[in-house]
Amino acid sequence: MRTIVIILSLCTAQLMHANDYQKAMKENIEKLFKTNNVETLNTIAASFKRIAAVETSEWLPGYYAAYSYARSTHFISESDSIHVQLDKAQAELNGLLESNPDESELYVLQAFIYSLRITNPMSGYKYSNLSNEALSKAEQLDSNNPRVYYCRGNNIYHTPKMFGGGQQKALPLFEKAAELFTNNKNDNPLWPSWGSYHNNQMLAKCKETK
Amino acid sequence: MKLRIAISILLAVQTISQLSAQYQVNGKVTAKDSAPLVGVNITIKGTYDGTITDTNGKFTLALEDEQATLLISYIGYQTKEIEVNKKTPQLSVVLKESVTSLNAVTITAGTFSAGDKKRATVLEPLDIYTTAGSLGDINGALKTLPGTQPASDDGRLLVRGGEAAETKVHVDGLLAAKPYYSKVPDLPTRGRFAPSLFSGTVFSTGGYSAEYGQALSSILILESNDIAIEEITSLSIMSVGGEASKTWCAPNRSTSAGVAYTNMAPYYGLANNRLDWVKPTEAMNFNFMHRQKGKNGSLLKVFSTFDYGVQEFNTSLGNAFTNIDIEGGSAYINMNYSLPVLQNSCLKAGLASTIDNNRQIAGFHRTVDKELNIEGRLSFNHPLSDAVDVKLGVSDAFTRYRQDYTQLNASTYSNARVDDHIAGVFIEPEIRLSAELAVRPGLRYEYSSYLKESSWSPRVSAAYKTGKNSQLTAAWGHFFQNPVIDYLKYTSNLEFEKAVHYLLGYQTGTLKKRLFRAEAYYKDYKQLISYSEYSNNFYNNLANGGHGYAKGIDIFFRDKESFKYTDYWLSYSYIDTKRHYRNYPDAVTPSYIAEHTFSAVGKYFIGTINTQVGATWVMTSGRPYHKEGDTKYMSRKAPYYNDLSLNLSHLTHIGDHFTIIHFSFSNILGREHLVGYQNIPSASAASGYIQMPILPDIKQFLFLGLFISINTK
Repeated sequence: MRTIVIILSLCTAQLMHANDYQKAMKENIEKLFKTNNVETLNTIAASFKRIAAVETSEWLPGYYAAYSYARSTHFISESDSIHVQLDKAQAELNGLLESNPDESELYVLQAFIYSLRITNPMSGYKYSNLSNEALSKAEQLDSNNPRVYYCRGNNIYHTPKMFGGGQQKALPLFEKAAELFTNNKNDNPLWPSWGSYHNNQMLAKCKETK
Repeated sequence: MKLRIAISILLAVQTISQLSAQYQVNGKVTAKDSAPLVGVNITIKGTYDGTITDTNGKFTLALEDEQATLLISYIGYQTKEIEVNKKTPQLSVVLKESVTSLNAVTITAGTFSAGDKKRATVLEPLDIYTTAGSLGDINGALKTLPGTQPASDDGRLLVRGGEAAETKVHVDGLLAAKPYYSKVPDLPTRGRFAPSLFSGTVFSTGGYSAEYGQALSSILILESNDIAIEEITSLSIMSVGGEASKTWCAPNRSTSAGVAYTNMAPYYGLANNRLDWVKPTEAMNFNFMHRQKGKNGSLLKVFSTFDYGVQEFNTSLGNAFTNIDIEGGSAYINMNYSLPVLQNSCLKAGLASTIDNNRQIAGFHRTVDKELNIEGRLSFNHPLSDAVDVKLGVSDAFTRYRQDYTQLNASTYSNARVDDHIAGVFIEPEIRLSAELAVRPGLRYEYSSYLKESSWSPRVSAAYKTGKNSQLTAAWGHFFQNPVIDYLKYTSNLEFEKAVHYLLGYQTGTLKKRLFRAEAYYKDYKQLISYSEYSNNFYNNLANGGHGYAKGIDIFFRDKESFKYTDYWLSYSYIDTKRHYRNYPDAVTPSYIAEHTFSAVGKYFIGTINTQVGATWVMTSGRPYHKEGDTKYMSRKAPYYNDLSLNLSHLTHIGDHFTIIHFSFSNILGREHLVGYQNIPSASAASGYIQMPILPDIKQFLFLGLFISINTK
C-alpha cells in the first residue's frame, strides 16, 4: 500500500508540474494578448523569463518573453524607448537562436523585431533587408509557417511602390498567410498564433482599394 | 480505506502548505552607482513565481515557504542569489555588471571597424559605397578616417607616418598578399576587392593584436559575406565598364560568382588626360565564393578573385617621352574552415594563396615579376571562463619571388629570386577583470628563413570604462616586418624593420547618435632600410641603418542625431614624423606626409525623391618635397590640398527590379592637385635635374553607374 501511495503522490507531482507549465504559459499568453499597457507587458515578459529559467529545455517561454517586449512597442511612440524594448527582445532571442537554430518561428520573430526597428525612413533600407533575410531563413525551415507570409506581406505593404512594394504586391502574401492560418494550425496549444487577426485586417485593406 | 486515508493525508498536506503563513519581503535593486534598476526579475528559485522592480527599483514579494532563495537577475548584470525568511529585513541589492554584457568594456585601441556590433564600430558596411570620392573602393572610404594620409597620388593606405607597405590586408584572417592592383608610376592604384564581397571591415591604425604580424603600421581585416539566404542576380552598367553577379542558395549553403569588365577608353576619349594614353586601362575580373555549413556547426568559406589587365601610356620626362606598357594578372584563393570543438571553443584552419604575374616595360627597361604567396594558418579560440578568452595560433607564410630584368637596347640582363618562409606563433588571452576593465596581453614569435632572423613581439592593450558609453584605451607593442621585396631581392643580409607603438585614446557616445573619439600615439621606428645611393639598378650599402619616429593626434566625430535625415563625420589628424632612412642625408619628414589632415563626410537623405546626396571634403597642409641642389634636404612644401567630391544615389526601379542610379563627381572645385615634385636626371648631364610636378592624370572624375538587382521571385 505504501508503495501505491508513494507512486501515486509522485505521479500527482509530475502531473501537477506539467499542468503548472501548461497552465502558467496559457495564463500568461492570454494576458499578453489582452493588454495594451507597456508596464503590464514588461511584467508578463518577466513571468515568461521566470518560466524559461526553470524549463530550460523549452524555447517557447523565452520566445514569448521576447515577443512581449516586441509587442510592447506597438504602444510606444517615442523611438528611443522603442529601441530599448527591442534591445531586450533581441537579447532574449539571441540565446534562443543559438540553442534552436532550426526553429522557423524564431526567425519570424527576428524578422518582426527588425521591421519594428524602422523608426525613420533612413533606417528603412537596412532593416527591411535584414527583416526579409530572416524571413527567407524562416521560410527555408518551414514553408508552411503562416507568419512568414504575414510578416513579408507587411514588409512589402510598407515598402514604397518605387522599390517594388505596395498593396497589390502584398495582397497575394496576405492571402497565402490567411490560407495557412486556417489550414495549418499547430497541435500544441501554446504554439505562436499571433498575426491572424491583423492579417485579415490587412487583407481587407488591400482588397478594399483594389 | 487505507487508500482513502492516504489521499486525505496528501490533500491535507497540500492544504496545510497552502495555509502556511504568508509573509512579505521588500527590497530595492540598484547598480553600483546606486542608480535604481527598473524591471529587474526577482524569482523564487525553482518556481515560476516572482515579481519585477518598479520605476524606483523597488519590489515587494509574498512568500510562503519559511526559507526561500531569491534570484535577482537583469540583462547585462550578474545574477545574485539571496536567502530569505520571515525575519529578512528590507533588502538592498546591488548588482554587478556582467563581464560578458554587451555594455561591458571592449578593447578599441587603434581600431576602427565597420559592420559589427562592437564598440570599435564607426562605419556601417553601406558607408563604403555611399562615401563621396571613395569611387566604390574600400580604401577610399577608409581614407576619410583619421590617421590616414589622403595621398591622392597613391591610393593605398598610408597610416600614421607609415609607408604603404607597412599596412597588411587580411581576408577572413588570412593574408591577402596583393590587395591592390599593381602600382604604376604617376598613377594612384585601387583595391583589388569589391566592397560588395564583404560584410565587415576592421581597420587598425596601431597597437593591434598579436594574431597579426609582418606589418609595422596597420592592418586591415576584411570579413567576407556570410551564407547568403536570398538568390540575387545583379547587373551593373557603369561609365567605365560593367559587372554581373549571381548568388545561388540552398539550406546551409550558398554560392556566388561574378564577372566584371573595366575599360577606361570611352571615358578617356572625353576627358582631358595629362598622360598620353596608348592603351587605356582595360581589365577583366572574376570572383567566386562558396559557403557551406556542416551539421557539426562547421563553416567552410571559399573566396577567390582572378583578374587580368593591360595599360599603356606615354609620360613626359622633361622633353623626352617614356613609354610605359604594363600587362599583368593575379589570382587569389582563400579557404577557411572553422569548427566548434569542446564547449564554446573554436578551431580555425585556413589556406590563402596569391599568384601574381606582371610584365612592365618602361622605356627600354623590361621587367617581369612573378610572385607566389601561400599562407597556412591554424588557430584556436578557447574561453577559459566567462572572463578569460585565449586565442593561440601558428602560421607559415611562404613567398616565392622571381624577377627577370632586361634592357631592350642593350644586352644587360639580370634576375633576382627570393624564397622565404615566415613562420609565426602567437598566444593572446583577453582578460575581463571586471565589466569596466579589460586587458589583452599577447606575445608573437616570428622567424624568416630568408633573413635567418627571428623576433619576439610582446603587445598589450587595455580598456577602462569611465561611463555608460565612454572609455579610455591604451596599447603598447613591438611590431616587426621584413623589408620589401625591392630590397630583399638584392641581399638576404638584412634584418627585420621594427616599430614600437604607444597609444592612448578616449571615446564617448554611440554610433546610433553621436560618437567622439580621440587618440594620441607615439611610434618609434628602428632598423629601417638605408642605403647610400641607388644607381645602375643597384642599392649601394644596403643595410638596416635607418630610424625614425611618428607622433600625433587623431580625432573622429560622427553625428546622426543633430540634423534630421543627415549623417556626417569629421576627422582631423595631426602628425609630426621624421625618418632618417633610405638615402636621406638627414632626419626629415617624408614626402608622402601632410602635417594636418581634415576631412568631412556628409550624407543627406531626401525622402520625397528617394535620393541620397553626399559630399566629402578633404583638406591637408602641403607635403614636403626636395629640389635637387637645395642645401637642406626636403625643405620645400607643396601647396595645400583641397578636394570636394559630391555624389548622388537615386533609388528607383526598372520594371520589378530594384535599381540604384549613382553619380559621382570628384574635385568639383577643379583645383590643381599638385602634391610635390619628382627629381629626374635630365638626358644631358650638364643640365642637371628636371623637376616633374606630381599631378593626377585627370583633374576631375565623373562617374555614372546603374546598379540593378534582378528580382527572380
